[in-house]
Amino acid sequence: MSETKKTVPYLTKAADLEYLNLPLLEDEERKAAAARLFRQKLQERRSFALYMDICAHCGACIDHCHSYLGTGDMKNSPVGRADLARHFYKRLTRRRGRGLSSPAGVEQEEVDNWYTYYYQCNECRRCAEVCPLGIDTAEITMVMREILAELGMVPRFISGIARNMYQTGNNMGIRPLALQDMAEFLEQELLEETGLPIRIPVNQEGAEILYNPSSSDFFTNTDSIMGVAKVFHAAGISWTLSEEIIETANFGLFFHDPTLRHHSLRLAEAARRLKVKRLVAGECGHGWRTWRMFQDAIQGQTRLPLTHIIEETLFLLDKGLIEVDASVNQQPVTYHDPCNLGRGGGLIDEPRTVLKAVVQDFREMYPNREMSYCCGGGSGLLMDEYHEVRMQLGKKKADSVRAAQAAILCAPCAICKAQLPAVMKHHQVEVEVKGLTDLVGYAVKV
Amino acid sequence: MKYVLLISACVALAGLIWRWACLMKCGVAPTLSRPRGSARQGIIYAFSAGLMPGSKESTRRHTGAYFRGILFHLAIAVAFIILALLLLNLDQSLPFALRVVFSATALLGAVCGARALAARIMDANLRYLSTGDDFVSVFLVTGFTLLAGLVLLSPPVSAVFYLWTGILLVYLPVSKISHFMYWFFTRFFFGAKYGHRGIIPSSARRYGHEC
Repeated sequence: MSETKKTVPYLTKAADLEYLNLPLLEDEERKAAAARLFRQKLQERRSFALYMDICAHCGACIDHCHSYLGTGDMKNSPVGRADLARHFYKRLTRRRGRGLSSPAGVEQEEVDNWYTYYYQCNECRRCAEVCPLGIDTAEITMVMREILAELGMVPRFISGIARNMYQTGNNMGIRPLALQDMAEFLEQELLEETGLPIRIPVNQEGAEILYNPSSSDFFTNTDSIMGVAKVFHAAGISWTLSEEIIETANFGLFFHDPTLRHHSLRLAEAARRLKVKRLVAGECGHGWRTWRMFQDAIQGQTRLPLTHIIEETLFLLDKGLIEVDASVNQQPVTYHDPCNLGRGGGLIDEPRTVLKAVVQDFREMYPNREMSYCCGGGSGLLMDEYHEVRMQLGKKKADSVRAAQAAILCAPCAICKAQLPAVMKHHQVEVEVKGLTDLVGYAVKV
Repeated sequence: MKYVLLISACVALAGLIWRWACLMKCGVAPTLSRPRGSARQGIIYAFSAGLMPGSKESTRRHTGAYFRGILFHLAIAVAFIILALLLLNLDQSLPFALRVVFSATALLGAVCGARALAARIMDANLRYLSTGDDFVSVFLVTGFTLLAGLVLLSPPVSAVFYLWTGILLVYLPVSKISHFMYWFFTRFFFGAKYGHRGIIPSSARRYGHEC
């Protein structure tokens, strides 16, 4: 049975662990803590306990997982990966009956395997769609990553981004003055392109919308934020960015509840301070899932309406508040359903409706919608040391895109937009990757 | 022999209740997010259309395995009916046609079980995954359906059938066979979660889903 070349994410630095209030453990301490944390998670989450028990090892999930199909490693199949936890669970519960109270050791090699393979899962949840029993293997990955974090095992890439989030409110570590500079630069670009004073406002109190983009929109995906600025300008909607938080992404979802909570509260606080009426999420898949699943609970009584920029655009198109000219997007376009936007966040029909309005030649790729393959970069796997693994994980998506024979691959998610160009190049698929707001921005009449 | 069977059934029941109680002691995180679809519709789907062969990529791609699985589980249900008939001394009053149907179903199920065992040995991926419990469980259940099919044709087999069933029942609570109980929970969670998010019931076929 083949195994992926042992590429292990670089472990986080002690300083970052301390910053995130996570422990730095010696090997022996780690073994004892693993059993304690495992028991704790079992007692907290019925679904986790259930998924440990129910699998019948039928193997129905194996050849539907892009991770297994790309790497050929059984430990990268949904059931194989979940079994890394299940084997420990069986030992834990059989020592002294099933009361979950007995001590059970864990081997260092076992923990190393958890770290390697639970950080090769994109948490895309495709396997949950095909399991005859309905096991959500991504949930097992999430729990195991939480345990690993409490054992002081977090990839350096993820902890670094989490630290940026705490310090600056965005993944890139953009400071307020730099944000102002970039917004002004992009306004200048818009002026040159359209001849109109289209604003990208920052900290505008009383605006109707607090728009929360991906911070990569200010570096690599500038057409995305400029497209959004054009749409709001055309519709006459007042909007603003907040220098406190310009990041829909929330890496806390990938490993650490307190980080998730902190970033979500920061968003709620920024909205309260700017007295906006609603929150609009930018193109970030897992960020949208975090909003959809957790923002309400975290905001509590003060919860504001939450929408996605795709929903906003669809509403404006439906009501005739913006006009578009699809003839500017003449090349064939195919649509990639980001896992967290579609399967995880329920946005499946809406992006297609918008896309069909703004491009002339839309082509579905297959499989699509809730069965779409992951790009291979999701759930914090965009780390440099994982380049080779990520290219393997993206193989099935590359096959889908190749078969669609499109010139443009529309992917409304910052992680997908970072991962897919490299995957397409690696697998020799000639296609240009764009966000949906990019294409809307080209087509909207301002 | 029937008393042995009764004791085994009590052991199985007690074991399953204990496991159910352990599960119920675990906490459940409340869903506080605004619904995009309907959890109720999702649950209905998970227990109805979501079980059909065309509803999942896995069953569309492996239709043969799907129907073998259905037949195997149907045979288990029939085997329990046969067991009940024997225990109530109603087996002799069973119409001949029904006797043939029950027997054939149970025996076909046994063939499917044997096929599943062979796959665990022959298929490299399944062999990698399989634990001792996987083999023992499928072996015991396959034997159960085989003996149920035979007992209607040859009544002297009943003693072996009772003994085999007794072993199966005692093993049941500590084995993967207990997935019959957990299945209702996981399908419920799946339906509730994905229904709440508006992912199921699926609208894929409207767009000509191909795979």
